[in-house]
Amino acid sequence: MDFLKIFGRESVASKDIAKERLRLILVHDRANVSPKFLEMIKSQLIDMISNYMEIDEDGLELKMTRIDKDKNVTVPALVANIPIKKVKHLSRI
Amino acid sequence: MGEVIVITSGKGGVGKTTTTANLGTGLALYGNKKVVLVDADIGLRNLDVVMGLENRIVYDLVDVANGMCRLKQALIKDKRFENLYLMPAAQTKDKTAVTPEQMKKLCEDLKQEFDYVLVDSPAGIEQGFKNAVAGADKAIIVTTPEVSAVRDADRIVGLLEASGFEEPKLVINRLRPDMVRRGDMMDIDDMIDILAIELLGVVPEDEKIVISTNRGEPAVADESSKAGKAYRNMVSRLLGQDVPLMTMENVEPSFFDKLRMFFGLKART
Amino acid sequence: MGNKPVIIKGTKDGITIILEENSNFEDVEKIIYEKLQSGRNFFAGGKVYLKSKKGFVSEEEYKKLQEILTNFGMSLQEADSPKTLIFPKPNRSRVLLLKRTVRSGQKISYRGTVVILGDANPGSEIVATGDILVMGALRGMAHAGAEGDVSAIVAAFRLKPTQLRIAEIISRPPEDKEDLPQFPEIARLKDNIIVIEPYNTLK
Repeated sequence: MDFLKIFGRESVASKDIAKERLRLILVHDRANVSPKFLEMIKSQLIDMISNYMEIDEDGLELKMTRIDKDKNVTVPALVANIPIKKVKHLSRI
Repeated sequence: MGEVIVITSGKGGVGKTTTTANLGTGLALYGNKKVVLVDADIGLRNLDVVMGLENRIVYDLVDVANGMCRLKQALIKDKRFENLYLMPAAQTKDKTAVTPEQMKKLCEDLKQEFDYVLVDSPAGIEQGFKNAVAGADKAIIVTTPEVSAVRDADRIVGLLEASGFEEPKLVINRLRPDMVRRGDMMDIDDMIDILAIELLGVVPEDEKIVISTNRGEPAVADESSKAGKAYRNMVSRLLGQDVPLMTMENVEPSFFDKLRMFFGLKART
Repeated sequence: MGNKPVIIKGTKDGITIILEENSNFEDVEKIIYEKLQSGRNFFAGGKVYLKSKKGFVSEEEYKKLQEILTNFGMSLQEADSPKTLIFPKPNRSRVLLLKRTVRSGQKISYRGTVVILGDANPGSEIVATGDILVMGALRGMAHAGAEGDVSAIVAAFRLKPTQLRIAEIISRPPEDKEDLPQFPEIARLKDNIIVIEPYNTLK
């Protein structure tokens, strides 16, 4: 039950939402992260990981986001979601 | 030899022109410095109106840059304050009417005559902005406590750093202490934290600003205006004095507010 | 005509042609032609600066001069000060009729008389070599007789400009804004001062 919502107050102050959104936006802005840039990382990741395991290239997801580092600290993060099909035997590599 | 300071923001409508007018007037009035305000917003000039000097313009910045008149012919002396002058922008031309090189030359020339040359930059990061910063030694970035304005300010910090500006200073405009208290507006620390530049001052939202702009008389000279006081503090800081940030009448939540927040009630003011 | 209609002077970076105030252009043409003819090779490749004592030459005259000079291998330079810009004579018979509001940042420049069926807002500029008539509120800058015609007038249904100019004279409204008259007014030059009168006193 969301006790706070009953009283008409959102659980997070809107200024904190603003600040967090800004942090994330600025990571993109400052690094000049374009979709093209992410595609570049993606293709290099695929190349590199393919040496060790077979992955589902179409299912690969890469995005800029934020994660909770500590209880109250969120940090921007590059999160990759890579579905693995098969791990190669080390001896074959 | 004077100093050229550009006042810029990226985003429009955050108060560049008001800041330029007030800091300039303050430097002339309280610092007893010889000051010229340069309106670099060609095609959308406003500094003349804010200063109440719109009916005195004969020549403008573009005329000077293109050699159509002498520098002194275009300078307009303020009607109230000694030592204060305006270099108006052209209204019927566009940003491409001058080049960064011409602006640089103009600033160099003005520096010989004035202690402070304050350049009011247009919004945006295109040619008008490039012109405005071309001849500047220092930069002041104006923002408001909004996500969009802070984001644009960050972009400007980046661009200024890339073109060799050291330590631009930040002015936070239109802060609303009541909203900060409720947690519905980013506070000073939030913004400094994000932008990581030095703070020149904070101006509280003040309806006196609207009134003074209507009249064409900068609020800095109005002893009863809170925003005026904030501008006077900034002027002192520009002049090298160490002035503490003015207390924004209960910027910090009072005990009672904290209590209300604790119970999850929206503090109403 | 006692004086020569035109003076041709050699300067360190070329020659300067000075047109006298009341010169007949045909005489001028003839004199310049003969002068150049007499020293044909001497002048070739030189730069020519043009000055006119009456403050302007017409576009047509300018073109003719340019043609003559080009034939002798010389180049006519851009005028070096606004005072010697090339203008035709003001022509009162030309009228520009604008059926719209002139807004901030818009500049209307016209050789002749400008009539506006609408308002001229603050930040607009209307420049005419002849008269300016605004059938609405004039709140911007208006410059009548822009080439020196001191008989030019500015008239408006509501005359409250940011600035008025007639010929070389510039004026701005008084600081303390009195109640603005609610009738048409007309501005004209009297003894080098811009005076404003109610329009209805004129016949």
